[in-house]
Amino acid sequence: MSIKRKPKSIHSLFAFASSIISFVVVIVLSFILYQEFEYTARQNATTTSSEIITQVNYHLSNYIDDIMTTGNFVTDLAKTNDWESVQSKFLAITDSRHDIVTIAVFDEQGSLLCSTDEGKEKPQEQIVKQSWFQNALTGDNPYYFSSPHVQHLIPIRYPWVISYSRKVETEDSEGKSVVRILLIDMNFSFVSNLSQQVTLGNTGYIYIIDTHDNIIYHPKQTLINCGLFKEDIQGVIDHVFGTYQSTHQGRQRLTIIQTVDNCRWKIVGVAYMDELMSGMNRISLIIILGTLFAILLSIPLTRLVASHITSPIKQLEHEMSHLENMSVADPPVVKGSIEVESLSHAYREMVTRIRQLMTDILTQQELKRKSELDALEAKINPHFLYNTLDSVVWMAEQGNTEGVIKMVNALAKLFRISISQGHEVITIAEEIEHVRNYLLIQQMRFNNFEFVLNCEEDLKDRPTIKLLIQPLVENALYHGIKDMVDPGLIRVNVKSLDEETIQIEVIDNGEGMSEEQAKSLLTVEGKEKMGNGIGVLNVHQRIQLSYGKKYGLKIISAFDEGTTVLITLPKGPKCSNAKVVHK
Amino acid sequence: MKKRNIMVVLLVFIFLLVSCKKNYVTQQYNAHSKVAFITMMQSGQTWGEIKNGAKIARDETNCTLDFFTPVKETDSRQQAQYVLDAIKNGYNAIIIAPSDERLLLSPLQKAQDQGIKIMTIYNSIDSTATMIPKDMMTSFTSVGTSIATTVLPLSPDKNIDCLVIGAMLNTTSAIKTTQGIRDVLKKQPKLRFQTAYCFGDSDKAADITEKKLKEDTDTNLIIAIDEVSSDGIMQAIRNREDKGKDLVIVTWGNSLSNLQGLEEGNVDAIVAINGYELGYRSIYAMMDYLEGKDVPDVPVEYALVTQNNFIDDKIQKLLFPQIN
Repeated sequence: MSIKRKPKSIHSLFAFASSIISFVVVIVLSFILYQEFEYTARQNATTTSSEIITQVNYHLSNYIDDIMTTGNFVTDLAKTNDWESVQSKFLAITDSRHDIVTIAVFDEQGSLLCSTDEGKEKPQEQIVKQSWFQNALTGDNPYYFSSPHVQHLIPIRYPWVISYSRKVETEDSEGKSVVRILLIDMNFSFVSNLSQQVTLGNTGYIYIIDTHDNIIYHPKQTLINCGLFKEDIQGVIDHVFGTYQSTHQGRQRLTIIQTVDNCRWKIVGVAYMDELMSGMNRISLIIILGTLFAILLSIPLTRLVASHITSPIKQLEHEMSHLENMSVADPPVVKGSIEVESLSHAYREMVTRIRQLMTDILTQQELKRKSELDALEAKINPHFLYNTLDSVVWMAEQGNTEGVIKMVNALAKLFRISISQGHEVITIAEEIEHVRNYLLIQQMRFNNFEFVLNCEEDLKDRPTIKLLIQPLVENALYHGIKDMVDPGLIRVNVKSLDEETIQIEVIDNGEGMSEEQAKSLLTVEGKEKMGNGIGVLNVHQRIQLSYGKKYGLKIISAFDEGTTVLITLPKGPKCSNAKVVHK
Repeated sequence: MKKRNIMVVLLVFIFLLVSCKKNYVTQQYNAHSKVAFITMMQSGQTWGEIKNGAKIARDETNCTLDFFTPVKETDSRQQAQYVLDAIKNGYNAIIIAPSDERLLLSPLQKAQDQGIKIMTIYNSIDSTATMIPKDMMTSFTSVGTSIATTVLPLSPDKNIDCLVIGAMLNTTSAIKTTQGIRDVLKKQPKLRFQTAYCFGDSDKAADITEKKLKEDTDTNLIIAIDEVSSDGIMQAIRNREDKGKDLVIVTWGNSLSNLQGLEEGNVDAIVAINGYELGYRSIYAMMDYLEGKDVPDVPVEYALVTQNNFIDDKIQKLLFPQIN
């Protein structure tokens, strides 16, 4: 079963669509803004970290250069055999440089030839198996830098050092070629101090690894030694050089790798992204709040814009609602967008056109009605005029001059009222006068009836459509009294039925008719069937056309008792007559 | 459009926006954690390294860490007072190396009842007690076993006359280490096993050693199970003509006198416990404990150092953990 959705207003739809579009635009813009900020912050952090590492690289390169220069100088000394002189020079070096712990020369078997340290020397077998000795003796490179280690040259002295060692090929005092191993122990603290002071972010650090990927320096060396921290050496091996991001021990970090020129050590900078990008949290908050604010602001704004755009349409809709009952005159032009104004103009023209058409229809109906009335009146006049003139001729032939004058005079008055200068509405007094003239003419023609005309004084100035009573009187005369042996009597009484209604009674004492015949006189079918009573139906229709269905005729009749026709009319305001009577 | 629908759409968009934000995970513990760290004594290489390790962990975890240490390791009452002070001063956690497995039960129980997390290091408390705190320590029974296993091949004959000297009587480290040694040595055909305690006094340890060597000339194995006792033994053998070379001597800790004794051949083995690791891991373990996480029971590293393995890289790192 499909659910019928309630139709939405154009305002709601427009507001909803605008809001959605606003939301999407704001969100997309915020996202792009955030990405841009994040990218810039990351780039800045990378650049800053790289610059710091470059500085460390610079200092470390200088230091290693210095050690190698010292190494070259000491190598030359180690080629001599005057060990007392050599030792004094060695001591001069170590005394002037706190970064150098020991300078020593060993023979190929590990026996100490010369050293800046004084004390019991270690057994040869312990010297020979140390890495700095082995690598200098058998390694491919002319020199060797060891990893940090505890030096064991002299008992009860355990300094952490980085050893620089190299093989020296020379001749002994007897001229035999001999191999000697030169050892320069660098104070590890001095090397570490070059890097220790550097921090990347709050807890970021740098460390140094040698060409064999052994850690030379690491700020967490103690933890690494204890197995409490594991450095991501493999990541450095994989990337060799440059910058990369990775996640290590649950934290995202930026790793920057640079190589120290002379010893090919790698300086590795580790910066934690959460620290480098800590400012992003604030920016994110600002962006989110800004977005929220923009979205919240967009809701009333879109509703406002929707109202602004749709209010002319709603106004137009409101105006159109009046079209149903045509209660508005000319609709106003609704101001708004071009389309709305154009629609408003079209609507206004349409209303004007409809109004014109309605007026035309009313006029046409009025004309039609008038033409019908005119036709009815036209039916009366020729027939009556022929008979009247026939009576005048007959009286003239009889020499009844007075009768002729009286009849012609009455006829003249009758036609004046009939014409009544085109007026449709006349006073009741004029209508009565018209009836009187008619009855006078007919009385002279037939001479077998009397008539009485009564009208309440107050009603004489009341309006009525003309020629209402005369056709009824004519019917009473022709169909009720004309063929009577006894003299007939026609009475016309005009009286107030109530405050709003006038009743006109046309009463005759003629032959009368049945009740069915009386009723049928007021219907078209009855008129066709009866073939008479044209005047009665016309009068009835005219009254109802003019005053409504509430008014009209009522016929009361019985055989041999006569007929009473009751006319009910609205009691209109008093008015002046059409001056027909006076003329 | 209904206001509810607007709110739903709004929330969906905000959710989308927030979800677009990258989260950089920061491994942070609660900086408001306040930890009282109560050790056994102020001096000693091992205790110094324990403190150094704890300080590094403190810096990394941002917790508040205060150290409390009696002058003498025999001063259990002072340790008990430190526990009561910690309760009074609103500490969240107490890490303690109890110098007596029974005497500290009551204050520690009281602290635990106050909701303070308790962790014992190096020594534990009486295992029969109702409270069972977290602990972080070396497997001292294994240490004892290793000592005995290492020294047996060095003994000239199968008859063992052994003196084990400890500082404290009621410490789990001493009890378990002694037990470990005894468990191995008792398999020898003839064993004379003697334990003595110097109660934190190295001079007394020296007297005990000298007296033993004087009264019992068959003595061939002397083992120290703490640093104070080691100092006493080293002091005693220095006075001997042969500097103890006729004896098998095992000392405790990486003090210079021990190392010198080892290098000169007067000491046959040194027990080296990674105090740095113990201190460092204890802080992290306590932070995890405070946050309700699981604290794995991983024993702290130790090694028996002899002349043969003295310059091994691993032993060097254990003996000299402080690289700078």
